[in-house]
Amino acid sequence: MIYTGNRKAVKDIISLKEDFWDNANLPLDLRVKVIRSEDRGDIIGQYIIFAHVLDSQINIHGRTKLAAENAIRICQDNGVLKEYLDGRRKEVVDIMVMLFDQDYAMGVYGRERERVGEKRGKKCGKIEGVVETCRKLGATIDDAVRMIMEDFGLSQEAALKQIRELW
Amino acid sequence: MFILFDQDYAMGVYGLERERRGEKRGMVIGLVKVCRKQGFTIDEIVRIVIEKVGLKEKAALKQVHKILRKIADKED
Repeated sequence: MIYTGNRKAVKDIISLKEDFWDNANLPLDLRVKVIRSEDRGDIIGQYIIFAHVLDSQINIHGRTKLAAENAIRICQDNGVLKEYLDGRRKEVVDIMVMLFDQDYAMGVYGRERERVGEKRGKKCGKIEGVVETCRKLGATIDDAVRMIMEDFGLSQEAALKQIRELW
Repeated sequence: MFILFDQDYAMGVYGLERERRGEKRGMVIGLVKVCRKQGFTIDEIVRIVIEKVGLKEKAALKQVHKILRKIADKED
């Protein structure tokens, strides 16, 4: 696995069992070597340099075509992936821009889903709060049903169903 | 086609994960708002959040204080 991020403390080997399943007693494990050094002198090292240059350009110009073009130019000037970039410059820019657009769309979609979940969660949390209050004050289930019907505009049946799940 | 199927699947999983995260946050907000109104102490609210939402103590404390701060800011 190639790591191109900025974290300093990255393990040399990642284990599925140890790092994702809390070292559970599993019969199988998957161990992956993490490649992160720029100083390899091969094409992988050059790719890692390219990723770092791109990140720095994104920090300056945002996820734009200009950032992609600058990153490619800097790498070409410094002999990084030069042969590849000389022949496929336009293709690489197009792919980068497409990936930026995809990232943007994913961000919008993710925020929208989170908003939907938050709305549902708020209502659920408020009902739980009312139920908890009723329990603390020693109220009966009937009192709780009445409060939830009033506060949340639910039918008696719906309120009773919610309370049965939470009481 | 298979790439598109996989992408659709990954988007679905990602969407559900974000929705679940939002739902948890919403639940904490709802609980804190109601419990505060009803006069619960901060310790009681944190305990309820841990019990109902399943957060760990440190995370629950952080979230509850953050929400209470936001509510106080709005009231000012």
